[in-house]
Amino acid sequence: MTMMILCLICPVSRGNAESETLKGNPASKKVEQSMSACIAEASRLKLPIATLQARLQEALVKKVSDEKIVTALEHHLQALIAAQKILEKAAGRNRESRTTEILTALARAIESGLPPEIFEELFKDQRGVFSYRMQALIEAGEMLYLGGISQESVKIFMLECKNRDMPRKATIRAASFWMQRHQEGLDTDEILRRLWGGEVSRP
Amino acid sequence: MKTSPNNNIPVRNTKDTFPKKHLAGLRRRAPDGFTQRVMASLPMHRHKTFHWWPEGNSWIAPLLTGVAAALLIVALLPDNMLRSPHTERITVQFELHAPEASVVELVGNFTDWQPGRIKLEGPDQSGHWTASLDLPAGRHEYLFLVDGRRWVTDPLALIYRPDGFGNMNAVVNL
Repeated sequence: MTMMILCLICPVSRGNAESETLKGNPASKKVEQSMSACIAEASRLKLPIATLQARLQEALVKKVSDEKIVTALEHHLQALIAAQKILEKAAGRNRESRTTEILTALARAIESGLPPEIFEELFKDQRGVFSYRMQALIEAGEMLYLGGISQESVKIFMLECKNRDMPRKATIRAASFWMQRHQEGLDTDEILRRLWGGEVSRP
Repeated sequence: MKTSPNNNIPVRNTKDTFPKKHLAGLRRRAPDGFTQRVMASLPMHRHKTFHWWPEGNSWIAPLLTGVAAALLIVALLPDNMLRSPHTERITVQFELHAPEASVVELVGNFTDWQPGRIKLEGPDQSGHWTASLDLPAGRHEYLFLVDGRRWVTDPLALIYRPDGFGNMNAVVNL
């Protein structure tokens, strides 16, 4: 069972999996069972398991308790499921090659505390077309939320970037600008005015 | 000698010009060596024959020239024509003030959360450890690992995210 977990963590370098991962970080039976269950469920739902593997790897390196590892894995799985529901609702069965990256970014944002409803509204007229810019949008929204920006302001920001079809760099730069102005004490309206001249379409 | 019917211009009769006694003396084949002597007297003329593949080593120079031209074109093209957002790499400077540390490492998603891959250089005179990395465009989480046992959050990061294990990961969006 331990070797199976190790193989799941390091699918490429299986020969060195034991030396790299078990180096002072053995996984208990409880963690192995939880990881197996999460992977089985993720596979059944056709969810990416790479982030589950990364989560486990992070936990093992940081030498956290088994209970925390199990909780983190299950929490991450639930975030992936919630993200998948949002994308399926927006895209139907029409999946594109970028969906895995979008789904992973969306799961992370939900795990960080952003409510799924924000993204449901963001994606409602996508018709199954998700671009690399949408991934940047989600990550920028998460960045703002983690920086202390309100959910409402995050929603306004993401909708505005989406409507303007902003490329990744511009989206990240705009998010950084918002963060810095927020730290200076400016309110949302003033930040919007400075960013886009106040010409925004509020939801 | 006969004359033409229309005028009095004399017309030669070939039979008279080449009498049989002369024809009887003519040889029926060329003398020995005649063909060789004739061919040897002709000027040399090289035929240009088309070959799909150059003969000998004559293909090397054109090939090298083509490769050099291709490399020059690639070198002169702007970056955005060659790199997709997924492959663009951005240089990021990491820094930590830890004057009493012996080893400072950078651990994050870009190291697959494996320690021992990126070590900061230092400390300098002011006790700072630094590292400069080329990371792919995207979102990255990381922590510093001091002396192999103490996890330290980057105090200079713009964003932090709880890792769910009691630590705060620094987040950088490139």
